[in-house]
Amino acid sequence: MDRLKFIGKRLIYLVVMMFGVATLVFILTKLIPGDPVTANLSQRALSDPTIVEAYRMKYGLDKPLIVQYGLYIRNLLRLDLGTSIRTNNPVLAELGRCYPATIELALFAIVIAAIFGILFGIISAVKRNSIIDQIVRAISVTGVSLPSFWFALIMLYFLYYKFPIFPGPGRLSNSFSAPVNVTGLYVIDSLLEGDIPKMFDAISHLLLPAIVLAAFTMGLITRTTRSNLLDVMSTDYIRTAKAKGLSNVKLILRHALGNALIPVLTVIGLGLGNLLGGMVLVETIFNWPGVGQFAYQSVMSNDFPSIIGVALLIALNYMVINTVVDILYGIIDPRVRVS
Amino acid sequence: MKKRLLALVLSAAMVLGLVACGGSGDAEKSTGAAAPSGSNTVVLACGSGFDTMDPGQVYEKYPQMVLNATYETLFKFYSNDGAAEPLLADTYELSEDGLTLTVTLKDGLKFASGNDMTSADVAFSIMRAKNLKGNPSFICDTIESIDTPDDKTVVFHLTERDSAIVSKLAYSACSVLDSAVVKEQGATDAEDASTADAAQSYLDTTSAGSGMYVMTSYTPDSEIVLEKNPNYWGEATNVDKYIIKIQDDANTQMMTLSKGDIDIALNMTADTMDELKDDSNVVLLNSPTKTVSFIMMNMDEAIGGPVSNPKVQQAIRKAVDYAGIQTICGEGTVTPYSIIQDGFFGSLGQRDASYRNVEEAKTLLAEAGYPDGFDVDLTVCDLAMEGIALTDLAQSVKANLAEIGINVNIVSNPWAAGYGDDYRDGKLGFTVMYWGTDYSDPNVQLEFLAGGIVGLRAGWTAEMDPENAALYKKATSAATDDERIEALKEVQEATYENGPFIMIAQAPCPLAYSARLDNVMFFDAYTVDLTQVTIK
Amino acid sequence: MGRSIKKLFKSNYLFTLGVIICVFWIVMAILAPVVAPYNPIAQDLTVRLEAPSAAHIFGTDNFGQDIFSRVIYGGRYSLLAGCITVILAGIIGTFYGAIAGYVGGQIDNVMMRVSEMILSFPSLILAMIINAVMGSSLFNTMFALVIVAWPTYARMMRSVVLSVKENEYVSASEVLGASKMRILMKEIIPNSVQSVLIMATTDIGNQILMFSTLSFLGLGSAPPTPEWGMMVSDGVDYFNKFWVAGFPGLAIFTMAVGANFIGDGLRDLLDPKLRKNF
Repeated sequence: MDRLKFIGKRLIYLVVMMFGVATLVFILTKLIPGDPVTANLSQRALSDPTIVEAYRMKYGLDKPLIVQYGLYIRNLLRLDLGTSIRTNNPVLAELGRCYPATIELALFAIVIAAIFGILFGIISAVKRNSIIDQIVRAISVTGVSLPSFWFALIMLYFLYYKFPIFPGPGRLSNSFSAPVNVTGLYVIDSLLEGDIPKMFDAISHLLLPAIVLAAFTMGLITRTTRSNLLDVMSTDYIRTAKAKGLSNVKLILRHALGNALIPVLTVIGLGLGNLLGGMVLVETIFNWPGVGQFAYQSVMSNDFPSIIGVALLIALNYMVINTVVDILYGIIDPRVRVS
Repeated sequence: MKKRLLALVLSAAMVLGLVACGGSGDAEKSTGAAAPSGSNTVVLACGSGFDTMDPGQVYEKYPQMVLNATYETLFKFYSNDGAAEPLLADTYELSEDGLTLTVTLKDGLKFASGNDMTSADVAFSIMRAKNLKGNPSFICDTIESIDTPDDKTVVFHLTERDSAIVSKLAYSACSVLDSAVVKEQGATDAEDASTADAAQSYLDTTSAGSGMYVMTSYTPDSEIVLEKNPNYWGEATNVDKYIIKIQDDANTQMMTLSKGDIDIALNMTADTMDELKDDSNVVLLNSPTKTVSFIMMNMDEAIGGPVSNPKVQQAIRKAVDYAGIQTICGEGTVTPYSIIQDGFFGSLGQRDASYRNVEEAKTLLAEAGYPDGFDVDLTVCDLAMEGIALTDLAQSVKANLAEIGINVNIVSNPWAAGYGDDYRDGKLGFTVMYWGTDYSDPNVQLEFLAGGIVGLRAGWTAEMDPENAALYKKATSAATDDERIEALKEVQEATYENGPFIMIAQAPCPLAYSARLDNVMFFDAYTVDLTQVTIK
Repeated sequence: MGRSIKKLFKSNYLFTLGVIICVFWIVMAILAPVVAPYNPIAQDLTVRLEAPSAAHIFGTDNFGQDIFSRVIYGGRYSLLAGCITVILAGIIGTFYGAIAGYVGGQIDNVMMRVSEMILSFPSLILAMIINAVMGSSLFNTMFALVIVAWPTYARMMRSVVLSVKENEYVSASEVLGASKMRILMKEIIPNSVQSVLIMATTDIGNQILMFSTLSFLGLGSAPPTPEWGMMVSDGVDYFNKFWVAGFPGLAIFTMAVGANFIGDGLRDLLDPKLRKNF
């Protein structure tokens, strides 16, 4: 019962906060001194009052702000995010187009980051303060400290151009056409089509951008795993087990890791949230038609409905991930469930 | 324990290795398959800017390249220096008073849908473009009405003499649409088309023209696929399919071209060209464009301050290091004589680099009452001219003016966040901006005269310089080529050392393509004419 | 504390390395006019895009400006931006989080939802919008970064305060009749601020990265200001000439690494749980 109440409360928060986010972005975008008309009309058309007028009418920009806001919220309640000023398509359709590309890449990146991050974290904790520990930590700090755009270009330059190990930018090689849209994730869609070569092609295109994106999150995961593992291993419970003569590795795998991974889960969750919202540069460099690129283009052309749509989508992502992590916490750690 | 750990590390390394191998194996295979030699598909990469594909709305650069392949116009540019020549038109005739243009259509014209093209389609398309009140509608400003006495004849009634009318009819907005098809999708050419027309979203995903190709798929911000029009009335080339990748980054384009993943890269830079100069599989092409950057000094003293003073303007004109700016912009950059670019019909060519004279500039500055120079803000936006950041040009100007004692402070203001509004409203005192020609005709440049669209942005009204303003009409209403050349010459002389504009550089367009292609040529109007490219 | 720092230097090479790197960049930034061989904004078109040589040890850029001098001067902007952002965000976040955590109840609830709202926002996009609203300049970019960064501090502070609040000395002061404000300032914040400090050290690196990312997108200081992120962004056009983007990129990277090493070391040192021997 308490569980349901808790979930109910969280859902109400969610709705209230989404509303808050929508309002906040609306205000912010209206504060931008630029006019979407200037951002989207040509130099010559700008000086023609009849064209400017027609454009404003088309997108409802001629109405007073408060009316625009009212209309916006009303449409939002009907799950209508409006029409993109830049592309003239419904914002929902635009998001539906670019979101799967982002999800696919983000999931791939987070899996790489989690596997290597946890592995490095364990090694580092077990060999605390040894040379191996220092090396692993240096690697993780490197990951956290690389400017992603710089790293992306360097990776592309060396691993695609100089030494062609990975395929170039884009989601698929030119010899393949996009699979029929079911999930929007090319790997899964190709598999559904039964086209195995295409699936491998999609995976190989994911690798390089995913590694670039994973570098940062991996550093964070390594760090959290290490410190939490050390933390757990200094507890009396583990000390007792150790006194009983269990080997270190057994100890870690059987007893300490489970508990130590709970905070790591939060980092992974947050990392995923960040990936979904912060891939602008990597998407641009790898020609990945995802949410980041869409957001960038929208901000650059004062495309208000699209900016708000992206912000809502990413905020929703973040909140959903948070909620899921909370629930997982409960499953892994019985203490949380009780309280 | 140690062994266990080692095993763990090793297995991790193996996983990574396997993954990497998987990647590499695949990459080889895909380059093998994608190395398009043998196939009749051409892959082209170009920058973004595909907001719409509706001919009635398009004004950006790269969509025109696509529209040129999917639609056709009455006239067309077959070479970049020449005048527009008939395409759909068979013959044409301008009346004595210059107010009526009669065009007869070729025989056997067909749309991709199989429908026959008639004069009604032409009239519908052009009136729709006019009444949509979209970005390119200005092109039809001088067209009063269109008559279609029979299926083959189109009669344009003009509001005034327009020496550029044939060039204008070659512009993408005048593409002929399959009116039967688009009307079904909600298109209209009525007066209220700007609100009543509903065909844009249809035309954004497919084409409805008579061009050599049909747009079969369009993924915004990603790629466009053009496939051969099965019903093409003319003679087609041996390219069956184009894949246009929307990819802004010059380095990525260079790398993918060199790897054979793409065939044409439109957004190269001086540096990426240099990288490919020894690659025998790649052909480099560096052509001058008519996109021009200029310094604008507001004539209104309340806005421009010291730079509104004609003496100061002349001092700045003398102080700019044109040769240095050409170096910064890269090979192929030229400085136009004045407001009409080098290469246009009637152009007086280039401004001599020796025009620069720092001593003279200092004297002029002293005469203007600023012997010790002055401090001034130079506002610049985030746009780039053919890949050359305007901030780069601003930095050059800053360094040049420092030599005569003018201390320039660069203020950056994004186009979408205020610069654009200020620019349109003539509120910028001192700026570096660029201008891309919308249709290929020198008359485009007349907007830089007093009272023209750009002139007004510099606070230069027709009243301030009626003589200068009068040149506009003189050039547009010229009846013969000789009269036109004379008028354009006058325009250029009048702005050589006078007025708020200093044209500083015409950008080059460095592009590169695979050696398996032929007939890749640069056009100001289409960037590359996809209907001319062939595979060897 | 002094002794443990000494021990940290001895046992944790990475910490030592971090300190050396950071001190190096700070000294360079302060002594820029002395160290830099050229004026960082002096153009010389006769030596454009030259590879590193004795005359220009990091080579020259598109305008013939000396990259070494620009990198040295660039530290002033990047370091300053990183530090000021962290300090401001840290202060705002500390007070916000402390108040929320200490006062509790509905106020806490509302305050935390507000901070969560900003956290849930895509940070880069928020920064871009703020920059668009206010115009892009060094100051406005820092402002945008502060707006994006403070909620993380607030959350952290709040969770620390929640546990500190339960300590006996706090309830003792309450019993003695100290005002809430006084307890907050004298007891709660001083006893919770340590964690914020550790976080802030590491965060300097992140903020420098974030700042360079925004510069890369064309938001930030106006050219020809020698700012690292902008130098990388300009240098990307000359990728073939590795030194143009390479050296400023390396500067950003080493500075971020240094800050992270120090932060990691301090965390190990100050976290009492980790101090116990394993």
